[in-house]
Amino acid sequence: MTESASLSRSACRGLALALCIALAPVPVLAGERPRPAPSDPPKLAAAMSKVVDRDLAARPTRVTETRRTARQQSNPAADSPAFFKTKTGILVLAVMAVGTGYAIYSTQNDRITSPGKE
Amino acid sequence: MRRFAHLLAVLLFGAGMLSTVGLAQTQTGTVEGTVADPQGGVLPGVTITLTGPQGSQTTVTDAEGRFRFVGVQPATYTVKTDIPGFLPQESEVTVGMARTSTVDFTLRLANVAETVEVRATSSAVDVKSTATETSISNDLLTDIPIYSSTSTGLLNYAPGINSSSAYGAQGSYGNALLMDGVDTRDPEGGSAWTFFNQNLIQEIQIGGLGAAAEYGGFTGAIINTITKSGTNAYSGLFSIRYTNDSLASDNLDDEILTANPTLGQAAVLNKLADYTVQMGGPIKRDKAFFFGSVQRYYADSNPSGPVTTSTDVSPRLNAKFTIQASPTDTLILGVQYDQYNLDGRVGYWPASQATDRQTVEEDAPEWVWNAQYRKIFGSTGLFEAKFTGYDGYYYLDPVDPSPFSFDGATGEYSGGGGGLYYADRGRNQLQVSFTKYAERFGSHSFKFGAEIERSDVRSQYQPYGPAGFYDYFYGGVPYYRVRYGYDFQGKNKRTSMYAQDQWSVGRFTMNLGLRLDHMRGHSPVLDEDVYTPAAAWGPRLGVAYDVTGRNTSVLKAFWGRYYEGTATGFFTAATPGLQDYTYQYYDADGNLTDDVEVIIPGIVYGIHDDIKHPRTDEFSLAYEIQLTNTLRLTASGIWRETGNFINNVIEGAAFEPVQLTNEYTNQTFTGYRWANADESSENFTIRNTEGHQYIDTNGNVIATADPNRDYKGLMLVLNSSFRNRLGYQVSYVLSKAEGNVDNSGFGVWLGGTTWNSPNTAIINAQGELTNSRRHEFKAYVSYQVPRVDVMIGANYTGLSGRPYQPFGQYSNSQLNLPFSSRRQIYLTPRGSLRNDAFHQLDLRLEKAFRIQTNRFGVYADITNLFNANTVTTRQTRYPNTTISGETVLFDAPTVVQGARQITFGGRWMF
Repeated sequence: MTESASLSRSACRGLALALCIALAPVPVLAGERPRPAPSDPPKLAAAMSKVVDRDLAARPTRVTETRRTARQQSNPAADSPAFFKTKTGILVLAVMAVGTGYAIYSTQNDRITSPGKE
Repeated sequence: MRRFAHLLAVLLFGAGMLSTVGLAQTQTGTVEGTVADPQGGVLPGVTITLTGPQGSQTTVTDAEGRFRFVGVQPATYTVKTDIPGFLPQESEVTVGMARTSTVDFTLRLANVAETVEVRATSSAVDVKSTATETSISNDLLTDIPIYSSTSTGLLNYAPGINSSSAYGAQGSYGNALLMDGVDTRDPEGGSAWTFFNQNLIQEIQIGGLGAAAEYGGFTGAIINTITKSGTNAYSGLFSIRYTNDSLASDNLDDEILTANPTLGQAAVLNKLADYTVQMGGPIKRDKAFFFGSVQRYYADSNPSGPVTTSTDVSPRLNAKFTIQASPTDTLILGVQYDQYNLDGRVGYWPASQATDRQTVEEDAPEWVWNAQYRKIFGSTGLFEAKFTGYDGYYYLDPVDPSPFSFDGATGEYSGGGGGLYYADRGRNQLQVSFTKYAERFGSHSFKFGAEIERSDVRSQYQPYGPAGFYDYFYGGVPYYRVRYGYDFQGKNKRTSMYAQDQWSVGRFTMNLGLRLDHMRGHSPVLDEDVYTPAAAWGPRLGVAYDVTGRNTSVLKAFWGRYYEGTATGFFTAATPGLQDYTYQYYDADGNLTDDVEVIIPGIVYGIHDDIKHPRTDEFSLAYEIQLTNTLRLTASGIWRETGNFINNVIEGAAFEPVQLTNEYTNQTFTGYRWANADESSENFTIRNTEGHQYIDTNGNVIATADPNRDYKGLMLVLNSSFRNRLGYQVSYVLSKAEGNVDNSGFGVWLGGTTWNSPNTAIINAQGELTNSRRHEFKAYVSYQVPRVDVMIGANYTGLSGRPYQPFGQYSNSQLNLPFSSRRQIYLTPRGSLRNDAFHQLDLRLEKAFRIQTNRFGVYADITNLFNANTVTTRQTRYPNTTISGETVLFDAPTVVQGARQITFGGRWMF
């Protein structure tokens, strides 16, 4: 390794070490201090705001308009162990048992075993 | 160096401990915001409740009206305010991995006529991050007819990524492939190792542009897959898909088959029978949850090329437990067991050449594990620890173990499978991180972390029995039998540390970070580190500006350096295990003689001790804006430059010029013959190839190696949530990847032969790379037809064809270079020709039936709706080659896109 490369590497290490040491105490020093009041928006932001200022915060809309809601809703009957005593719960268990059983059967019977592992 | 690394580790951990907080957040996100009164004044003391699938948590706004939830599992949540005198307000927020979702409330005075005010979904723009990411949600995967059981298959649906090449990077190993934090890459070469059930996916986050220092080990993209978890409600999915060859079309027309009769039939699925049963739910409400998933995947396919059938039977079992011991302590345990049983896999031979007789059988079971602990320290800190890994193997045994034959005059392969390949792999990884949120000179999100990786590789390649590897013919006349093989072992040892801060002042956010990867390649046989690259320092500098101050748009700029992940492929040739490469000659009557010549001794390659690990430098500039409640536009400019390429060269080799004929241009050119093989045949050395000089017999420099790869791209993405009746993601990417180190295949980087001689390193080497797609257009759309409950999902992909170039195969007598790949010289500049543009439209139609909260769906997927037959790969040997006895001319098709096929499916979700 050349001397210049060695110096360069040492400089990089020193810089990184300095950065880490500098960063380390900051969380300790930084308490939950009051944040200064936001200043007026700069002109660029104001101009952009006119163009793209949408009603994310202002216009009330119903989240129930989304079509996923029904899919995402929890089933009141499906949030307690009594679920498995319902017809749906029994059917779920049966399908799970059949599906799992056949997959386990497959691990035993569809296995290709290499001569290297015999 | 080791002392220095330990010192740095102590400092970093010390910093994290002193700050009394922390968490590695790669699997979770943050929700924060402010609450104000109608006049804009801050409201302290407001109770904020975040409710999601695993329960609720509350916090109270501080003196400045701020609140924050940290360590939030990716999902959709509601955030609700509660303070006397004001109307409660509720907002829906979608939390993504490593993203900060901001929800600001302006409350109204209480009105007796209303009980709660429901607001629109919050902005999906993270105005503090400089990362540009694409998310593939469970909703998108449910609606769009795409399927893949590997990360590399799914990542190709992201903008800017095709053939697994992300933003111009190497397609086979440039990407970090994470599943629930488990690095699922092959530690030998970095390609995808673990297969999984697509139905497991909660969300995939595809990043890598503007990535923070906590992300490393990639030069392409990071694919961060998070799997489903159990929730407070029992939920399940039962899914089945089926197709067969009667539901497939044929898209090979006479023109294609005349050019290459060996293509035989269209690439279709002869039979697919794939089912999943999975369910999750509470073990104890709000405290403990389970999730289990079982899949059996059966696919009998007819791939493109001479192989007629390939059968994959893969049972996959997953279990996951989430334990919330307290509101601030979460433990997650996950495990997967799967087998990958495959026959009809193409082995040593190119797919365009192999017939059924030359395929292999694959035995590949594996265990994958994942344990995570997460602790939340109020709203100001997070700690996360993860132990992840996998253990598995894949063994390939040829169905016909006899040696094969290769005819140098025609390029034809014939005979048996030739050899076996056994691969044993193991990977263990420990990750710890601390995150601290603080207010001082603005607001900070500090993060410190460390990772330790140990991964093991053993790879064996052997002729099957004493017959040898293959017989070399020229014009039908046998010349010699080649014997060759290896048994390599290697271990990757990596210790990584990083420190980063997301520092916001007003609307500006600085993303500062530094990452250190200390990597060693260890030989268990020698019991020493043979690959000792310089410490890999990866600085990250980013600036984000919230343009409107409303969390709806951000302008961001980033510069950073990423280093490639570990791979034993960089150094295993520098460990014992390589056998002699020998010729056993045939006599004039075609009988093997006892004359055996060692062409390349089974040497241990040299390796430079001042080697540097491959890296990519990136500069990106992006603008992201929330156009409507659900519509988001992102425009990004990307510049990447890759360096520190590693390969092997022949030090001390001398070359003499020889005149060769370029049959493609009908001109002569100067090639180079290895003139002193006797003196330098043991001088193979692994190094950064940049600056390596090729010398002639007089000691003059013929050329100096200048490996390079650059990428420029402009990416536009329009995204509308798939949670809506109409959901879509539309993207266009204009890009170019060029250089002389290709971004396809392994050989050019890991142990290839490109840089052994000027013939392959210099001649026509510079140009546009294989995975350079000038234009890319991708669109995913789903629409829920009202009343009839029918869903229409479609995906369209339009791509420029891949560049290619003809090569000439020259003989050993001309160049004196063993291995035919060393004697393949490009006849025109790299990438001077281009395949036809690729277009494909896939469609899904699903009819749903709802009974209470059960949803039953039956659907049909039509892939390649218009039965297009774009040639995606061509025969590039000039003037021709021979495949299965057929002469196939240069430019003839060797791979054609899959034909139209209908797959039926059904699923029950509750």
